[in-house]
Amino acid sequence: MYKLFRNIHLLTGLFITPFLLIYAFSSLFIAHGFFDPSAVTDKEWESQQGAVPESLLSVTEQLGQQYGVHGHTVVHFDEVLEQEVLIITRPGTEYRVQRQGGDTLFIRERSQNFAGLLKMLHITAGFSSGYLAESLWGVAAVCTGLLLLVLLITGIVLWSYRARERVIGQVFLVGSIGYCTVVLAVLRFS
Amino acid sequence: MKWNIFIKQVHLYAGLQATVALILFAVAVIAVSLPESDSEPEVSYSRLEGKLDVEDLQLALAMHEQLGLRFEGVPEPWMLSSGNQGELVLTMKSPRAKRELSLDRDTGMITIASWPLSVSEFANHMHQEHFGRRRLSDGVWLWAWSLYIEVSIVTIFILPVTGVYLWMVGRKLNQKLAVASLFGSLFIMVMLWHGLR
Repeated sequence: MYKLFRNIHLLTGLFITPFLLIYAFSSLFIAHGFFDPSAVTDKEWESQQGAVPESLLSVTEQLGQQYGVHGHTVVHFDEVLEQEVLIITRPGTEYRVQRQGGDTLFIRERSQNFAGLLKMLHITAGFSSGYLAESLWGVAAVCTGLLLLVLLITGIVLWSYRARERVIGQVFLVGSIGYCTVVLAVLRFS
Repeated sequence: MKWNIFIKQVHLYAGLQATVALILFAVAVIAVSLPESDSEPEVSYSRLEGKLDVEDLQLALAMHEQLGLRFEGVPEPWMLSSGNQGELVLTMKSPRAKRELSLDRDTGMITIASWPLSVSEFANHMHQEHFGRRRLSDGVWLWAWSLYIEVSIVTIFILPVTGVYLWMVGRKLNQKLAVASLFGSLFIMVMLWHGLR
């Protein structure tokens, strides 16, 4: 049994290592502001389309083929411009597409730096996104969460086999659980 | 050899110390990935005593003090906004609920809308605490929790690094399987990254 738990612990641990490190780095960006996640780069260009269709949604595919524009798409009415604007978003990048004359589209790309992307990935609610890659990231995040629990359980089982480290381990485990229980109970219920 | 034993102990004790944080992180990751459901707030009312013709931040501080909000952080400018009717809105989160306090600047009437946190929302809220967000003046308990989260962030770095190191020096499992696990995960991440970026 020891060998089985050790192998499960090792395999799940190695599998979630990249995701765990990504989350650890992004927590540093969020918590301590290493690198500025709010820095953005703007890029603007015009695109000749022949005739811009009635619905801006129908140009999404074409923009994807021409400029690699992809993401979750929404059309909304901009009251300042008094016209429909197509918004295409994915974590760290946003495109605004609007009509400019009868045959031209004006496109503005706003992209965040690496820290900004990591931050967005950290806080994005994957499953509720309409964008496939973001939803898949959500699936990966949930798998990471579940595997983290597996890792934790197998880790504790493996520790229970090790008589020599039992006492000090108990100090760490019981001390940590006791500390957290008291603080969380006070914060939640008092 | 002594070095390897030391690393093994660091891995073990760091993991045991971070047990609660890892459970919270896991629950929070799962919770934020699922769609949110809208819930109706619990609404109550109060009236601000004292001067109303002062700056917004001072009004927010006065509301915070008068209502005795122990576990919401001290109001800061980024928590303030204006409502549709021009009222001052103070948005705060505590381990118990998300709160929105709306103050009518003319009458001093405070509308308190509270959305109690579910267990998963509680886990999500608590895993976000850190020193950048909390000061000792926000309350010792909040600060004590932030301390634990800060230590756990360090642990999240230590565990994978020491784990990979122990795997590399130990090689007790079929190497092909372990390599497939690590590189399979890296491949999935690169593909997702490519799709997102």
